[in-house]
Amino acid sequence: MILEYFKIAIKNLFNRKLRSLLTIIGIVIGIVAVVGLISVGQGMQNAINEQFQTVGQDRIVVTPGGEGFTGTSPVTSEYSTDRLFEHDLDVIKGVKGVYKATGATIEIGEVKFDNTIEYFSVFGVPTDSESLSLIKTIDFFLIEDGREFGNGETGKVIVGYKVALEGFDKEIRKGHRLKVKGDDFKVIALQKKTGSPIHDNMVRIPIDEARALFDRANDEFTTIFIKVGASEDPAVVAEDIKKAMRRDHGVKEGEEDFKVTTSVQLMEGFNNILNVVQIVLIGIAGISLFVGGIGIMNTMYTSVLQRRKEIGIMKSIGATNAAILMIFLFESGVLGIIGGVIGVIFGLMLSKGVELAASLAGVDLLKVYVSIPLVVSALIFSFLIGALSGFMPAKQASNLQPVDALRGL
Amino acid sequence: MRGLTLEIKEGDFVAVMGPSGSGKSTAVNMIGCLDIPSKGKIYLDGEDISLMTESDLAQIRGKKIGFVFQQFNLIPTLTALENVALPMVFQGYEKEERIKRASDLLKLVGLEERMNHRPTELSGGQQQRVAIARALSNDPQILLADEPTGNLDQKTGKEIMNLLFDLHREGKTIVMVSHDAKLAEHAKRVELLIDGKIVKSYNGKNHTK
Repeated sequence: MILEYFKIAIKNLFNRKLRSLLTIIGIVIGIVAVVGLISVGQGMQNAINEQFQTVGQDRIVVTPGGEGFTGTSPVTSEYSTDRLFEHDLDVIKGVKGVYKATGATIEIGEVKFDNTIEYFSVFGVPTDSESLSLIKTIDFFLIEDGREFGNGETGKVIVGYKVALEGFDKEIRKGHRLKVKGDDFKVIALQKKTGSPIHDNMVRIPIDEARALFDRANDEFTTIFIKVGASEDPAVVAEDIKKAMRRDHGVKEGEEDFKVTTSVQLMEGFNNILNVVQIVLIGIAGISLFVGGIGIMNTMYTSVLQRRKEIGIMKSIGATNAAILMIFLFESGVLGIIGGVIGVIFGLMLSKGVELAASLAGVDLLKVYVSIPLVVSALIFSFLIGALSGFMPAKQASNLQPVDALRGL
Repeated sequence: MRGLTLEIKEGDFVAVMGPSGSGKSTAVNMIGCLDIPSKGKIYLDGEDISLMTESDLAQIRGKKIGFVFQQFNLIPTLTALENVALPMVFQGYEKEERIKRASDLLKLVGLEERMNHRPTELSGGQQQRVAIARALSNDPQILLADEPTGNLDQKTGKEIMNLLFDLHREGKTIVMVSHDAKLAEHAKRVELLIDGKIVKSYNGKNHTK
């Protein structure tokens, strides 16, 4: 019998195609937003986590400038007025638990090739053998074609994946020559593709040349990379580094002119930002779902008003209040769930579109994550929204007195 | 409506007659469980329906009573066949059974050619036939007809009346509301209602049949 009521409900919706469609659109927009945002957000989170998995959890980065806007990310350090020097690296190397450490300078600089000038990140890296042994383990410095700098080598450049492939009209190959800030360099290697635009859009030169080109002191760093010992807890080592550097700089806790970040913290930082952004966006999507629900309620109230006579007829031929209630609830629930199905489909298409757009923009790491529980709960949720929004109108319909309803009062 | 006492026996054909506003429709609606009295009692098959819940009343309407209205009251979005089959949905009949019985009933009222037409594609007389077929679908004991020919021309009205006579002969109890004395006289018994009271009760032409 319930199946029959369901069929009647479907038929009723079909008889009001345009109105049903317009009502559904409200829910579709809400579900598209929720499904799309969560899928993309989850994909981003996975990408970040994956990135950090490959970097490893045993890394610590020290950047100049205290807590504040200056720095969760090494690339922002060039805006800080505080500075780091070789001396700091020595202090860090002296901290228990530090396995290896090296410094680098990171700047934005002009690169000239094939008579064209473009701007990229210019990393200055040390070329002593101890530093090189650490650099070789850093994920975004891996070499694909060519060789690493030799000890004390100058006048050579290693080029990031995207710079080589798309940076200029002509592809950069090993053996080509290019100019960084006017100085001549020979390309000795290309870096492996990382999928992250920051690291694919860089060129790497020996640090002494970088310091000279970018007017840095001849013992200055903008970032210090640290690898902790195998059995050490990076968080503990990071605290010890902070203590040692505070003592060395003569500053109190909370007034540091440097920032120590573990890769776990960095990942958590990204995840936290991402979570906040996601919550805000999903909140907005939730509002549109709510509005969609009101749309269903409005349609159902109108429908009850217009169909009073029909309700009266059904009651006069034996429909119970429960039957009428069920028919109307099914109608609103089906409006919700159709909206949900369409919304899920478009939501997934939207998130795939974002993935495609991201990979066209060079971010290959972003793989949209389609979670089955998300799809299922979106469908259940949309049905519930429909049924809940329809409940009051349906209740009103079922409580109509048959005589009044028949008269269309 | 006050002080109305009316007894209808099984197999009767009663016409409730009276001017508009006399309360004849209200009386029939109460018999048909569509309306409940603010005071007083109504017994149907020995049960006091004035005390029943809306759900029980709906079941009685579905099983024991068939309505025929002046306005036909078919559901415009359903075909003739679906309209006739609808009361059986609320009684939980299987689909095959509903379709078989609905098409038999439509044949009975002479509409086998127009089963898949919607009410708007049917003439008034045809719509009323569909309504009668629908009233019969759960094989009720009682047929309540409120001005069944009120919206029809004379010829068609006569055809509908003949259909009702046939059903009466087959044993249905029929209560018809009419303001038309000529039409009412065709019943077995006529109750004249004025201002909610029965002022006269007499045998109609159909009494001997």
